Amino acid sequence: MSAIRTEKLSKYYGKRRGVVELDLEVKPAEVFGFLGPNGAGKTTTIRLLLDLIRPSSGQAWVLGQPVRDNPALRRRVGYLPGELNLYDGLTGWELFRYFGRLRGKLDTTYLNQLIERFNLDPTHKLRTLSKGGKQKIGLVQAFMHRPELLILDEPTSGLDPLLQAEFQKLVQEVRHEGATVFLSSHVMGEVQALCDRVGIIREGRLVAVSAIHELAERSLRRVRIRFAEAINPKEWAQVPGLKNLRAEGDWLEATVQGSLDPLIKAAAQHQVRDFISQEPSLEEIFLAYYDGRSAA
Amino acid sequence: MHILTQNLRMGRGNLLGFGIGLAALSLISVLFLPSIQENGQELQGLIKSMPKGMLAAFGISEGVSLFTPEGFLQGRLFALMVPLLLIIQGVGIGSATIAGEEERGQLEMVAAHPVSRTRLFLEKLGVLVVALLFSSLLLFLSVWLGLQAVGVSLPLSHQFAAVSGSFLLGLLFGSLALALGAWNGRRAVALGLASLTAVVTYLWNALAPLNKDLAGSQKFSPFYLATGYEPLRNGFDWDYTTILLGITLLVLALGFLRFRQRDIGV
Repeated sequence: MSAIRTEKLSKYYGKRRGVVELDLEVKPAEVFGFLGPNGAGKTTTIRLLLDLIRPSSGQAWVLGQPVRDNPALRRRVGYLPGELNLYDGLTGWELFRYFGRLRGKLDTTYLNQLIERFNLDPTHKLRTLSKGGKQKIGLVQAFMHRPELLILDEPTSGLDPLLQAEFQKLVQEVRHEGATVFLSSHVMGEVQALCDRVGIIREGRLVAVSAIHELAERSLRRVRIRFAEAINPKEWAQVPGLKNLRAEGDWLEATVQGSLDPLIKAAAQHQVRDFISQEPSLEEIFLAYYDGRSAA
Repeated sequence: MHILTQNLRMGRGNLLGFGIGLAALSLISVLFLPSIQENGQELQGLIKSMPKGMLAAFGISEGVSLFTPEGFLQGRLFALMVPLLLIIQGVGIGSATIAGEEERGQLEMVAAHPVSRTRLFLEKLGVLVVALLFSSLLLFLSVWLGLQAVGVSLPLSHQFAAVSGSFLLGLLFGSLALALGAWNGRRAVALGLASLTAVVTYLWNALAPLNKDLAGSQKFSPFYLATGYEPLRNGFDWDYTTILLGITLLVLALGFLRFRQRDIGV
């Protein structure tokens, strides 16, 4: 049984494209990253999975059951929307109590643990909270009933680094307990740290699904190194994996495919003043992925 | 029932304030009864000098004597003021509870819970009904108490008929706003169309009698069916009530059928 499965799932808003013939499969107890630029169809997919919007064609299953008109199924799912809009006049407690009631029973022991972990004061009205504070409330309500599947739309937006780390720990924990996590993001770094597999969505179509380490191996990095003295460009042309090499005076710029190791070993022969490695954009990763495929 | 109770809890301040305001306004009007009756002759002369069209627009039709208790309360409260207030409450809640929450992105969060569309719609309708019932109850109590205080006796069933007629108008237009919001999720559309319908059908009931050709059509206005037939004088009318409830249910059914199928929050 898959945690999530879609079959030729399409959604059009009138003529506007949402997602197109999406075939997606998320296995139980994996952390799946759903990666794509803004407007690619990530949120549309998520809202289809929650039966908030209805497909133009195709079908979706969650935890082995069809999602259409199946409210009982959503008791087993935790959801964090990309744009969190809660009832501003309620306090955190009141909101947790309300949502807890809608899902059945509220496990206050676990809820209290979560509140403590995220350093949350649930006695304040939600309107007084910062964006990060609201996001914490959103995360806690998604996890508080120990769902079998978590569907999180851009979960770490607005969280400071400390809380991002706490969030990552929590995701790993629930995964070890057997829960599946499906999270969307437009930031590669976030997904890399968390996910077992990623799917890349682009203009409504799922263009690639791959284990995270495969993607990293194929990925490109833009690297710029400054040395203590002028360098000899010829020496660098022999380093494997370097593309678009430019060397002038005491600095060098190159695109590195795959492992950074050869470049670093070569650079270590000299005195290095500065080393900047830029994360590739999604588009670059995507292109690299396909270059790699067609080459293989 | 959690959605219903939570919504009522969040709106309890408004609910209480509105109910008390409505009750106070009605009570004051009722307490004026004795002085109106004392000065009846002079006021009658004053009224006669006013244009009929203007009087009709304020719900004072020719057949109504303003100086009987029934006539005064009809003209002062039940022809316009009380139905208007209950319609404002109904349309406000009806347009806010689905479409308003949807536009603010809150409905999506609730709909992502183990809650069917049917349950969501019915509990939201419940919010409207309970709020209007609460206001109507306070209204009924204040009219009854006021009449006791000034020593005017009107049959209890007639008092009930006047209040229930006003309640039904609030329910009808509130349901229209709810259904419109359930249909397309736009609060302004729900609010605007429901208010516009209320105004048009009100004027139709009030002004149709001034024109001989249109006079008969007055009975098609929900305002006539609810309070225009002077329930305080004529008592409760089952036929009219059934028709009003029928229209309300029809409107709700249309909104519901669409709400079950459509996308939420797009």
